[in-house]
Amino acid sequence: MSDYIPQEVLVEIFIRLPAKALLASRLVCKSWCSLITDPKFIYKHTQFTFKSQDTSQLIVRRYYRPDMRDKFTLHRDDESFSEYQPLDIPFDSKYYPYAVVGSCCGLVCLRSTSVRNMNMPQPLVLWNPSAGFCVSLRVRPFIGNILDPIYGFGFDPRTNDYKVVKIVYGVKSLYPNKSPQIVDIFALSEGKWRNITAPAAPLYIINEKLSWVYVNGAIHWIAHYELDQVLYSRKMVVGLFDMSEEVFKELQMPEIIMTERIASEKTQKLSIGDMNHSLSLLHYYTQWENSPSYDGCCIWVMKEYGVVESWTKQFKIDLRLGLGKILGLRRNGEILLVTRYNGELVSFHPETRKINKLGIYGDSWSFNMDFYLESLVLLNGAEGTSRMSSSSVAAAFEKAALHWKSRVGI
Amino acid sequence: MSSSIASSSSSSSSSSKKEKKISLKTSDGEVFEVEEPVAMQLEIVRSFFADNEDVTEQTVMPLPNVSTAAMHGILEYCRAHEEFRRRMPEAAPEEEVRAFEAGYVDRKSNEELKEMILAANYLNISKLLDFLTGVAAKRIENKSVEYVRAFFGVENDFTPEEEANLRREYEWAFEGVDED
Repeated sequence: MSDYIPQEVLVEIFIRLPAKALLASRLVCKSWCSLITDPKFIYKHTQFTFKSQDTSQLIVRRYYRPDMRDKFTLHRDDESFSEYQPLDIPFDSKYYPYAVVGSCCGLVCLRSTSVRNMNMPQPLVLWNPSAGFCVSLRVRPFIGNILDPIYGFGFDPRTNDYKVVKIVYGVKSLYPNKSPQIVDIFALSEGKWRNITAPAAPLYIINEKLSWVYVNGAIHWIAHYELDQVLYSRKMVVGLFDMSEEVFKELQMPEIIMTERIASEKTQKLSIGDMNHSLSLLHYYTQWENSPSYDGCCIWVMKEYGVVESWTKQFKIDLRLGLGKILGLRRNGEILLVTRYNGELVSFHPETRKINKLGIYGDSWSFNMDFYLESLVLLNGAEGTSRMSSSSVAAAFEKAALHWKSRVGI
Repeated sequence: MSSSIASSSSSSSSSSKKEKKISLKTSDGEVFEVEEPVAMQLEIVRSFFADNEDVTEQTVMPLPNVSTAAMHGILEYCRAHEEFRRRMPEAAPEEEVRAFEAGYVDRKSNEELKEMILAANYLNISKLLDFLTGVAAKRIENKSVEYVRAFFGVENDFTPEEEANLRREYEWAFEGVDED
């Protein structure tokens, strides 16, 4: 029997390897190197990884005050919640503040937050943490707007493409009932921004850009319709952008949440979440108005995606420690959450109420968590983007920061 | 697909009182008498019998790319899966399948594993190929480049310079691997 393994069989083995092993395997021989770095293979690898729906790896982001820096860490969702690969973060958040736009299928999308002049493009960065690749996107400047655009980042499972969507709302005070004005999309495979305002623009307003979730091939936000401006009454919905169809849609919320919210809006907060790939609503509550901490949270899970009747109140969490933020559900059924007072990440068993401290600290507002998949995407860069090294990312953010400082006079 | 084959075989066995067997001949000349539902998991066999009208029960199908040793391994896997399917037609007993598969590959050397991958590819048994390529990936995932070359019997055709350059590009990818 010959030792020769046909290429199609090698590909079957390679698509099951993590990014690190693939980068190392380039050294085996020339034909392996060209196979692994071939864009067609990278595409196939990403597709396989996405379809595996693997939930064993997680990426956690937090702002760690003692270092005055953001930290990104990769964890295995096992007993020890161990950090498995140190990350070389390509920018220094101490000097260049940025926000996470989204994290999906092995890529993280970030944007600088230091610019307040909307005529100046903000650097938008796509980062492959486990492989260490980084590119920046050109962002078209927009004129005559004072509202921050809302960005969303996700993966289109139909074409295996990564997409950034940008929504710019019109000036609210001037056009209270006019909804979003400009919707642009950037697909990594196309390498340029494309305007999709006409077919896509939603009529609702996305409330909170810091709370988003990518499930079922779409990005979801908490959104609302302005019903009566004088009475300040709103109809809350889950707004979503379908990455394949490139249209906005909406899902109704459970009726009871709507009623409860009207009763006492000041002691509640609604966020969107992901409980093991199921769309969820996190309904936080507190006893005191404007309390800095929550006493508890009801977690509603949409058992069957798209079916409004399937919203189920699955967990009710009360915490004496004060609740900062709920991040998600672990494979062992425990809930990952951040305590408010010391900002520690803990694993909480909803039935036994046992708390397992994980020794990971940060400001509770700053925590983000997503499932993490390893990909070789961006290995060869991408059209319409510039390949960045650590220093050039810093430089791009620095330029934005300087511009802002000169505008506000500091 | 497999369910229709299974039902036709059970009806024919009631008339002949004997399970239908299919004869498969390996590269070293050994003939295996294989129960029809098991043999039909081998896509190459299934299409051979589906496409050729003139084959009879006496036909011996030659498989020149499969050794006797590999055939034993393949049939062990396919028979176990046929057994799982027979007991629980709706849903395979996942824990049992996993336990069987773990025990099954633990006994296989790297050489045997490679030979079975080639055989599963040739016989076109996608379930087994998926499983075995996953096992191979796990075996090389955390190993040195030298180990991977030996595993696949691949010659290094890079110059030392080229190799050093590639290594420098993503140095961290070579850290923390097992040498053996």
